[in-house]
Amino acid sequence: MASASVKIAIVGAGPGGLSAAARAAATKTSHVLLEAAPQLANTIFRYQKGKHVMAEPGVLPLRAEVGFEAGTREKILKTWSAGVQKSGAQVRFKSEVSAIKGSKGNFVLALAGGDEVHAEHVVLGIGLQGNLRKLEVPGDDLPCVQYQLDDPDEYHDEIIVIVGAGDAAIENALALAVNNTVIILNRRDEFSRAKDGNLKGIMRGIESGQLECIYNASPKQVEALPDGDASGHRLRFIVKTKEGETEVLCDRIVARLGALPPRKFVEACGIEFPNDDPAAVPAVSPRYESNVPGLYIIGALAGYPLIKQCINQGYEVVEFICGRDVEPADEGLLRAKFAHVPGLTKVNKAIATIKRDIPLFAGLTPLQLREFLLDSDIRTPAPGEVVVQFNDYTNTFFSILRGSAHIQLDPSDPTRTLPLGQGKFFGEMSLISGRRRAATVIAGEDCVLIETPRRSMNKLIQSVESVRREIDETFLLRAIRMHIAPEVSEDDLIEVVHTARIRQFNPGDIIFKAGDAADSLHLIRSGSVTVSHEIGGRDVVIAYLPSGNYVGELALLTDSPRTATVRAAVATETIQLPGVVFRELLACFPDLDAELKLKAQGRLRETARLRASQGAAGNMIEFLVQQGIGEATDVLLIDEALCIACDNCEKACADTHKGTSLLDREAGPSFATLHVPTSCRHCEHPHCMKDCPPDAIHRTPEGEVYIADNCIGCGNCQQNCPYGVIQMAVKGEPKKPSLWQWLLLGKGPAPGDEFHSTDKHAPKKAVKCDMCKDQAGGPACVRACPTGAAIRVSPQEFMVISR
Amino acid sequence: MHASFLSYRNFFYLKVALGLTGVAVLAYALHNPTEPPNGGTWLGYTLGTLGAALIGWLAWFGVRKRRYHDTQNRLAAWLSAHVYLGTTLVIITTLHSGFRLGWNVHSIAYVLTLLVVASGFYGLYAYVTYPRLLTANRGGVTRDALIAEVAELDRECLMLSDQVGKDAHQVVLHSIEETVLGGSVWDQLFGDPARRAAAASVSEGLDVVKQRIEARIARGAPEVRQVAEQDATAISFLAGHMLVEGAGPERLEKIRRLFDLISRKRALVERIQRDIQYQSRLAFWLYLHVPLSVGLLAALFAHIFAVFFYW
Repeated sequence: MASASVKIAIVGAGPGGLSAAARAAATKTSHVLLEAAPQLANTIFRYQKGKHVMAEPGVLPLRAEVGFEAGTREKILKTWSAGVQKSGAQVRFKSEVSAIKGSKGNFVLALAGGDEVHAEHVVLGIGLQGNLRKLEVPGDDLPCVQYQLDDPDEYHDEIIVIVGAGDAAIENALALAVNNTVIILNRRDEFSRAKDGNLKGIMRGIESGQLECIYNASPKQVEALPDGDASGHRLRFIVKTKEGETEVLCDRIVARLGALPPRKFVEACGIEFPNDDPAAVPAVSPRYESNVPGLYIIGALAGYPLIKQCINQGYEVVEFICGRDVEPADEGLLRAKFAHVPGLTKVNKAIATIKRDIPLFAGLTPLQLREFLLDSDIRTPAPGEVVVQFNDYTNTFFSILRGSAHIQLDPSDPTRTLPLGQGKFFGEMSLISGRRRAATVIAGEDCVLIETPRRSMNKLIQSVESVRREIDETFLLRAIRMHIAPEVSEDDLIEVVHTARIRQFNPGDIIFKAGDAADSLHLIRSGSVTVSHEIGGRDVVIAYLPSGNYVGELALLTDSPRTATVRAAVATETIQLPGVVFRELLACFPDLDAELKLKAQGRLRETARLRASQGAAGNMIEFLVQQGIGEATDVLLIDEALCIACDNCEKACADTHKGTSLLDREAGPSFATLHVPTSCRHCEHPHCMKDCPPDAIHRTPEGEVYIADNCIGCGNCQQNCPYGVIQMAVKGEPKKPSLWQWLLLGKGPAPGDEFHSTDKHAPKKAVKCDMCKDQAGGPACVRACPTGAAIRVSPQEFMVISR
Repeated sequence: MHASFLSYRNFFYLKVALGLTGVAVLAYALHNPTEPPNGGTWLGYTLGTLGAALIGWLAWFGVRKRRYHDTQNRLAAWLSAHVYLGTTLVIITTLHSGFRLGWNVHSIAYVLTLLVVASGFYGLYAYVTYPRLLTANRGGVTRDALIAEVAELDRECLMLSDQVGKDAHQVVLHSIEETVLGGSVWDQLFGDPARRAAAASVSEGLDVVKQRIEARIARGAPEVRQVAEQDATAISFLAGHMLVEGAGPERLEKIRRLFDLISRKRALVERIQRDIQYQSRLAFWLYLHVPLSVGLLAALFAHIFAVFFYW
């Protein structure tokens, strides 16, 4: 029985482990890196070939002896392999640790082969992927049942069953379906866990018959078929479905069921878990030490799944063990953010202050706060400085760390303001509705603000329940005040807010129907709705209302059933106020009652007028809403009675966008002579932004949604856009001759010609309409239209057109 | 919401053009030179300079149209000005000549000016007329989609004709090969008269045959009447023969479907032909307008050169 003694034994050669070993080697600390697999970074090694690996969070500096930057799986593995070799780290491959015994100063690690390693300290960097979820049915360990897929191109003409409904399962299924017959087994009746892009991909695949899906199915048993079986296949897979058991003959089963913390092993080492949740991870100290002194945990097992974090922790843990103090990798960045804030130049103090003074963030852990602050900016505007401009399209979120800010209640009267003190926040309206800023906000005395981008804020709202609740409540209060009862004080509205509910509707869902009893009022919080009446036995849309409007007040005011049907035009959220509460509010505030009645009269007149137009306008509204204009902020509309089909719009677009026209004039539907070409609508909540790994899609204050240069060309946005307006194109147009050279000497290509790269392997990036945000004079397509057929308009103007 | 280039800024350029013309006519009326009015008087020179400047500026439209980075003014504003100010040339150049025309280089410039304006007028007519016709004819479908539909119908026709018989297959194949979209410039603009006549007769023939087939299916009895001689196309002949030969109900049904498909294809092809025609009429006039303009620039240069050289 061989045995060795070292100061640090590192278990697991993932990004954290290999970084720790490299650091130990660099500091001449005796160590050994134990890895069960025959290569470094087994999890990443088993990624699909050519997979792009991200280096998030982008701003976090890398602190390590080995390099790491975003790139393909192959490139990253090569960098690490070279880095570890160069550092002189001691690595033992194929050395699975079966048990860790002993205590600080004298740990004994038993290896599967019978060897032992003695170590003063142990670093566990085993991640989660070593413990993949199995099928857990008889036969789940047969040779052709696998839980990973390295290279989908290895398999041809097989019948392959994929088990799982997550992203990994879908990506594998789609990749394998190119050369094989693929059946995907889904425990549930939908793919709800998958990213949007994958969801669309798999649904398209199933609809087109490219692959087959068995829903509501779970595996029961796998049997190996004898060699040369008459069926020609290798496995018999028995599956339970709603209709009973069924048998699938196949060649291979790929089960992608995720991974669990290797709890048994970790607990056997003496480490405690905080609860029984299978996904729970053990708690560690700020120095990554577990409840067992001398035993450290880094990486995914400690709750840090990002590669860059793991690498940094590998470095840091060795420093801590050797008694050297290191500040967290993000310390310098955070310090720089607070450098200009008097009294808060120490990061720890600043974080403690935020936790104390901003109730919204009280429930966050210091680590969550650090991550959140990394994405945010700390601003110290001068008193009177405009922080948020009314009608801008910005969508960042502000929290007041110190001092005050003033919301201007009336754009036409800057003296009417609502003060907000320390600990309050603003900017949630645009964040939620996706619309322009509802009010101007001015900085007060001694104002310190935390400004957080949309994506980070949404992430926080989705992951921390207390943050979501608080923001929702404030939104309710402010929205009701702003749109319904501006004269009523906050205190008087609190009761109302507590009775309000947030309702979500899918496109086309009915919010209420004509003839229904009127029990509530809906304030549209995000999205938009159509109002329709029955005219001549047919449901005709008579109005379109974007967020910020309310519906259902007529019936409440007049105490009658609903007169119209209201439908969600796009994915819509409303604030539903019970009718009883609304009436009580009106009873208490007669002025409000009178004002709402006046508004309601106006609406009735408008309805009568629209009805008189016999639905012609309504048909147009309905058509526009069908084209997704309910969620657009700006859309290209062509009047076909004026369009001479010269395609000068496309040429202008190509000429001003590196040889790629970002609009297709001819494609797209028409109604009467109004044509909606394939061109970006700059949606309120852009679908393209949803799943952009490098966060490259942004919106300017003027509202243009554009793709920045850090696009990695993954194509998610192209898949996510329901309007097909994003293309993948090679960037970098060759130099063109001048207009005169073309005109007089015939030197090509002509102005406005599209550029097609001859290099097949040139990297492609996503391109889309940016509304010529960098050019004066507005969008080139509109500027270049000779007859005035092309215009770009915002939703407020649509209804004008359709009248 | 959409504003045509003609009504741009509330007919601003129409007003400018009318003002300019008014001033020119008034000046001409009040002008009382010692010699008869001509290009050599001070008013003549003024009008000539104005006309030449206008011609130069109007020609610049071809350049401006392609300057996609030019952010000043919309192209629709330029076109509006181009149309109205271009029209004033008729008056201004006429007044400039003092109605003295002859067989010389100067009159060439004048005649070319009128021709350019006339071709422009035709363009204007096309821009006002054809977009609506084009849209109505397209029915919300792109031309590519229409052509793809024709190809699909062709495929279906071939498959069905295979089931009907060898002769039918031959005839259908022949008809597919004969289908021509577009054609010469003349055909595109005005349609091929021979083809039009043939198409009309085929449509007529198809209708007759279809009615007979349907009548026969309805009655379920054989019909022995010969198809009339004037249905002078292969398809109708063939149809006639097939009818005469006494087909069973199943075969009859197939023939009926085949004829349905062929009629649909006919209609589609005609729609595409019309589409091509409208679009070419929208574009073709520029092939007159632009070369005439270039010619005018040359003639104008010669005119000015001659005036100053032979002073």
